Order: sequence, then structure tokens, then C-alpha cells
Amino acid sequence: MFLKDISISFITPCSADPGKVQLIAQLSTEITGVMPYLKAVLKNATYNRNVSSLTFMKEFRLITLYPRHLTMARVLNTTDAWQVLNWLKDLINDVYERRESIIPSRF
Amino acid sequence: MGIYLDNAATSYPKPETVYRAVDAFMREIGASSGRGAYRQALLADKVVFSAREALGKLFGINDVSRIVFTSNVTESLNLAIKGLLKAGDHVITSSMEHNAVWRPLKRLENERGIEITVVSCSRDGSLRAGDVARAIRPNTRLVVMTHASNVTGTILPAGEVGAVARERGVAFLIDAAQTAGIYPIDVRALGADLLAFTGHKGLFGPTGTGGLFIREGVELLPLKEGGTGGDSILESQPDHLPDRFEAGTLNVSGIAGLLAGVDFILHEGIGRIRDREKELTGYFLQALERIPGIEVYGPKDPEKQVGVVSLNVPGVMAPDVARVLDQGYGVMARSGLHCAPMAHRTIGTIDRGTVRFGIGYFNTIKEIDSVVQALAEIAGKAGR
Repeated sequence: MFLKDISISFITPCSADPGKVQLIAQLSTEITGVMPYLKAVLKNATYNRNVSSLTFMKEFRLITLYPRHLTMARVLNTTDAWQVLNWLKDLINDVYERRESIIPSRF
Repeated sequence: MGIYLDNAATSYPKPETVYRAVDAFMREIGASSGRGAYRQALLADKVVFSAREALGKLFGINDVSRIVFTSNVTESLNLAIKGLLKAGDHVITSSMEHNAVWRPLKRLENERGIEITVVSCSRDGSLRAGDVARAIRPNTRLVVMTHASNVTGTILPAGEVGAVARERGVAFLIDAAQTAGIYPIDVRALGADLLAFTGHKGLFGPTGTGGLFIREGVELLPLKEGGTGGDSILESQPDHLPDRFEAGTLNVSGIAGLLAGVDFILHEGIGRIRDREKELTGYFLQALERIPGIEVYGPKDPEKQVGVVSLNVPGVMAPDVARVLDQGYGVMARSGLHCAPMAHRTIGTIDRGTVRFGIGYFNTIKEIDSVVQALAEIAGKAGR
């Protein structure tokens, strides 16, 4: 498995702003090389090559991927956070496995 | 240590991993879940989420945010029944129900004016799905029934009833107190809109754990309000699950044990567990046939029941049988009405109750032999 784990390192579950839980999570693997392929698969993503970041929406949640970590905003709760992180891990691993059949997007 | 045959009340012993998981959580993590952002709070969050995932795998639930933790199946049933039914609604239930279903329904009958139809089961506890279909009215809102009787072990046709309910647009609530972890459950195959389960019986978790699956689109009012760790500025419960129904601090140490219990089941395989209980139950039922005079209730067929066997010894009151079993033979069984008077009316034992044996995965043939020998001696003395 390419990406074994995504672990939450910071979360704001009890904030003053309803529906605005934010989190930072650490990636067990460096993913810079997968970002152009993810950009090709995630139609609404914005890829910034200069800082190696990929920003996209997962329904109402705003996710930004960096080489070794990610940030996520507007998460419903911790259960929602873990569910989305599981989805993201599966997505990254799937794209990595299929990368030879995907035309990478570098813009 | 005697012979424990009260697994229908709570399972004992638990898998070794359950004891270790609770101990490890309390010593090494110990924090509340869904509140803090420090490392141990995040570990507690992960324990709770992993438990949801394991339960989702066991019950065929993809969106595990639809699994709400409660303190037991009674709370789950109260949440489902009181959260769903409104004045003027009609509800259908079976005549084999536990008071955890019957008492909330009777309270709503008194307070909200709901109407209740009880579909009669046969003397062996079995139910015909067609009888449920015939009882449905235009205002029927809910069908609620046990998956397996806690008195006779009789397995009710949940899949057939679920199909009827789905076809007629009626919500379907299953009380899986006696089947979760013991009998294969897939909420999609059963057509369950709501599945109430307890953690401390077939799922091998500690007491004080349970849950409710709520299918997407089923709207319930919360049973309780309070802190959820998020959306704190709101003056009402948040709309999203599981927070909407999980006010207050979760029993995370219990849930850690529940996770270990469900992991044990997933590792062993639900088919293997079911086969083992069928083997033990069938062996017990066959052996009981050789004791003159013993009255056994239910289907008397391990294919049609879970590991619950109820009986009476002619000439000896059920509490006396249980007392002699305990004090004379070290056998732990339960006598009485088992909080299910309707079921006892159905099988004809409302005036005397039964002695109930709850067989579990860790019981052995040798233990069953000892119980049969004890019952034969009690029956023999009573017959003199």
C-alpha cells in the first residue's frame, strides 16, 4: 500500500463557529508525485506546483493536500473527519495504483 | 467457577482481548472522545470511530455515521420508538416482545394516543410475515419486533417482514438484542430502517454499551440533549449524525471493549459462531428429550432458534429449579418471566415462568452434559 495512514494531529471540535470544525492530519507517505494524477481525477481541484499543494472540495468540506500533511475545513464532526480521511486515503492509493493509465495534469 | 448459562442476559466470559482493551484504554488513553485536540483525545476519537467501522462491517452498514452509541439496547429501542412515533400513528409489534419494546409503546399509547396492534405468534414463538402485512393500515408508521425471542430463542422472519414493510412504506425496527454477534445480520438484506443492538451480549462488549443504526432518511427526535463536543454555540442538538443522538460523554472505555469484541467476531467469523451455538443448542435439546417429563418451549430446532432454551420441570417451580441448579450444581441459569410477559402468555407459561438457559460461544459439550445430568436428577427427585 502506497499511503498506509492518515492521522489527525490537530482538530477544533468544540469551536465557537458551528459547522466549522477544522483539522490538520499527517500523511505517512510523501505524496508530491501523486498530486498531478489526483488533479486529473479531481475535476474541481486547484494544483499549485510552486508550493506543492492541491485544494479541492469534498461536498461542503474544503481540503488542501500538501506533501506530508493536509488541512480540512468545514467538517461536521470527528466521525465525519475520519470517514473523509478514509475516503481520501483510498482515493490516493487508488490513483497511485492506476497512475500509468492516468494523464497527469500539471496546471 | 461454575457453569455459566445466562448468556442471553449478558455474555460471560468475554474474549481475553476485551478485558485487555478496556484495561489498556483506561490506563493508557483514558481521555474523552470528540472534545479535546491533544494526542490522547485523538486516540480516544479513533477508538470510537474504529468501533463504528467494525460494527458497520458486521452489519453491512456503509455510512458508519448512521451508527449511534447508546448505553444498551433498551435505550436504543426507546430512542427509536419515542423519536419516531407521533400522535395518531399506528404501530405493529409481535406477541413475543421484551418489555424494552412493550413498555415504551404502552407509554406512548397513554401519552400520545398511538395505536398498537400485536400480531400473535404461535406457541413456539414463530410469526408469519403475512399476518404483519394484513395488520398494516394507512396510518401505520412502524413495525417493531424482536429478531429472536429472549424466552424461547425463536428466530422471527425479519427479512420477510422487512420486505413487507418496505413495500408498504412503513419503517421497520429490529430488536437485535439476542442476535447481534450471534446470527448473520445485514441491514440491507433485512430491510431494516432501524437496528437496535446491545454491546454486552453476543457482541462480547462490556455492559453499558449498545447502539442504534438509523437508515438515512429516517428522522428521529433525540431522546436527550446536551454537549456533543461540536456546534457548541447552537441552542439545540445539531442535525448531523452521530452527534444529534450522542449528547454527553460516551462510554469510551466500554466502546474500546466493544471494539475488541466485534473484532473477535469478525476474526472468528459469524458463520462459525452461529454453527457452534447451533451445535451446542442441538445437543442440549436432544439430551433434554431423554429426561422424562421435562417441558421444553420454543421450536426445539437449532435451525429455528438461537442459543436460548426455556423449560420447566413438572412439580418444581422454576425459581426452585434455578436455585437448586445454582446451589447444588454450580449452574447459572435464570428463572421467571425474563422481562417478557407477552412472550410467556404466548407460550402458555405466564403463571409460572420458565427456567432459561442462555448458551454462549464459550460453553462446552461437557458443560451441557453436566447441566443435563443435574436436570435429570432434579426431575427424578420431583417424580418420586
